[in-house]
Amino acid sequence: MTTMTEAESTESRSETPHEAPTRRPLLEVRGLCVDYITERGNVRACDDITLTLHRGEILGIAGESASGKSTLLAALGRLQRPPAVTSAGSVLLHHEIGSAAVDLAQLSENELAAYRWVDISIVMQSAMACLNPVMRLGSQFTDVIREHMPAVGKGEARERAAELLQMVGIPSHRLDAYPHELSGGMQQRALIALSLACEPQLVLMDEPTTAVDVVMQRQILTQILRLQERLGFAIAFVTHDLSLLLEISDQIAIMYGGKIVEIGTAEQLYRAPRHPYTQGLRQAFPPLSEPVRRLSGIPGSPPDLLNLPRGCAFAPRCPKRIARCDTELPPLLEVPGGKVACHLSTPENPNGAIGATAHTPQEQEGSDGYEVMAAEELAHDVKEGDAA
Amino acid sequence: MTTRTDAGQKPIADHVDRTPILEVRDLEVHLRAPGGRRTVRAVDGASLALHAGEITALVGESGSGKTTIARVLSLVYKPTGGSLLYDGKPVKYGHRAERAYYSNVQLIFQDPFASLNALKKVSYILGRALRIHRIASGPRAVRAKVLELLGLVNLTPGESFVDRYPTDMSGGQRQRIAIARSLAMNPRVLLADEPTSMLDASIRIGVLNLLDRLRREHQLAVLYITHDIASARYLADRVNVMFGGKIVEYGDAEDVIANPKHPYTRQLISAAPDPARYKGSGHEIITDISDASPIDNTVEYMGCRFAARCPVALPKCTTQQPPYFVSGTRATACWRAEDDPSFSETTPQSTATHSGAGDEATPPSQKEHVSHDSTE
Repeated sequence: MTTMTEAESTESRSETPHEAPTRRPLLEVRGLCVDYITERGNVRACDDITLTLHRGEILGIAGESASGKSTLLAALGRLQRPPAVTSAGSVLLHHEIGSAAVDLAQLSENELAAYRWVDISIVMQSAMACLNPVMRLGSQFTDVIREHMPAVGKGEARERAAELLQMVGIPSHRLDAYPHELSGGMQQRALIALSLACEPQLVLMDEPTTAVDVVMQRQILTQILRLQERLGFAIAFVTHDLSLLLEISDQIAIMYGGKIVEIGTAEQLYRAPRHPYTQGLRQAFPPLSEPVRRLSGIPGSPPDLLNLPRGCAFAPRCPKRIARCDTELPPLLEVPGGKVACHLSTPENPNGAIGATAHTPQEQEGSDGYEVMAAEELAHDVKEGDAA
Repeated sequence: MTTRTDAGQKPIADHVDRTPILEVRDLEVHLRAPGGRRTVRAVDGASLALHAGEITALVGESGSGKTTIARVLSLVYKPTGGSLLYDGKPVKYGHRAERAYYSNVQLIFQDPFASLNALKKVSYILGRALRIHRIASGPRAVRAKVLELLGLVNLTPGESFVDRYPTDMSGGQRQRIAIARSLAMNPRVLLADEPTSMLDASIRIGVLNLLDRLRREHQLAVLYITHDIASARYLADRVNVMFGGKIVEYGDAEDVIANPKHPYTRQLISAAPDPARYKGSGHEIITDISDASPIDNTVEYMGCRFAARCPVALPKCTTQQPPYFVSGTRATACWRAEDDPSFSETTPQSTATHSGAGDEATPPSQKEHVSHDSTE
């Protein structure tokens, strides 16, 4: 029972207003489509992605394997390689406040080079695969710095490299180390330091903590958040771990079958996720501080992108499916606090998928919308059991 | 004592008057580092017991020795010290004895993409286990049993899966095939080493629920190895927290997680992502874990191995090994528990047998049964 009172105190604490930063867009993605050209036909890994990332904010992108989240991240930095091609849409980068935006999707490789590292950098999942195993750490840093900041001299570049390593808690004498001499967590932190070498405005992070254990993950996240606070860069953070995204993100995009099915603030997605898939994902992580209850996960398997259903891609696994879902694709609708693509959510009733199966008269001030949903889910779980 | 809310979900087993099926006592695994003269103390004095119908979790960070214990239990490594007991008797090595052992103790691997032969159909993968252990013979009997196994892991209708290749299946389905294979010889113990960490979030719970159902229906003893303490709380009855080759805290899952005593357990819990700390909730998520680097286990420590990372270390922590301080069914190896009136220091004998009081009946001579060379 103590956990319940904790949840209540959380609620009262959340009412303290946190200052709204002046939100200026940094990256605007409009109708972005990415296709993989395969022998069996084109696979649309990202379909009509539209989102805006503001300066200094963290955008979380969540989804399961093959949902298109990593493809999207690569496409944002124009890093995808054949057979992946950007087939439609634009990625507008407002690299300087006030100046005209550039469309990264239209630039040639040479033109892109001017923005890489300086405006956009990336941190990949596997640090060992990103760092050059036969070069000392120091040369890898000075390489990047001198290539993209030609005014910087050799000695200065090395000083900067030492400073960067210290920022992530690695002693500067490790500049002389080879990547394999560092532990996995240190390699990952070195990679984060490297991504910040030219003070970019946007850092793309593709599951930067998936390969390390929870304690190291917490340490890396702490460092990322501290650096972000200090240097003010924006982050697009891809992971399958929704709990982690809820902790760090200003905005979270949920992807399923190559599409964004819901966008919302961390609070919105914690308290009242609107899309049945998001609701299922929230039910997929056992809680630590709330009471344990039986969870169901999401029955069924992720969709085959080569053979997507005609209607909503989630329909075959959706517990709240209606007839329309099988035939008609739901559009991504603007709703208060985010966007959602579900037939049950309409502009008049944006929370349509939350109370889809039961009346929720308890939805009153102070009541936790999530708990209401949980009770319904529980009823559903009893029936479904672990049929998956 | 338990604060579990889903009453009836998990019958709290009385571990007092039952002998464990599988047990390690004071286990030591010292490995020679390749090429060097250094000895890696992968496991250094750990005791663990698995009981029928009970899920025991082993939680800890990379390099803490969790997988080494699983390897000892699956006879991949021989212990360099301590004992491995099956049904209270020392385990024998050698081809014939090992096959008999494997028909009772089965392993589920982390990566179902690597653990299943991609060139063979499901019918072959499951049928082979049945034939080797002579559970079924003849094509008809084998097929019937294969379908039964698929039903056990909720892959229904089984007919639509028997002729598929692992490559045609999703990660969750593959892991179910791997579990079905381990169930083929009707084992008493399942060793699951991070069985869900390669799976998508949405299907992990399904696999955990399956393990839970199997132990209920088949009275399996399950060892669940993970670094995700939230899933250990969800699934397990008992939790053992491991750090640097030692079990630093153990007890009933809910009790340990709601009221952790060892600073490392607290660190593990605070490091785990918790949706309730969502951005805007007012929770501080920047926690100071000054140095999370794994300890150097080639060194023999005089004191507690966690002392260097411990936020509440005492002077004596670096010089004296903490004993287990016991309170009811739980214990912690931390000097800080010395001042806690509900915990009392154990005598060396009972440290070895934290599994229950029934062990006192077993003779103390078992320690000598492992007769292979010590690396020291």
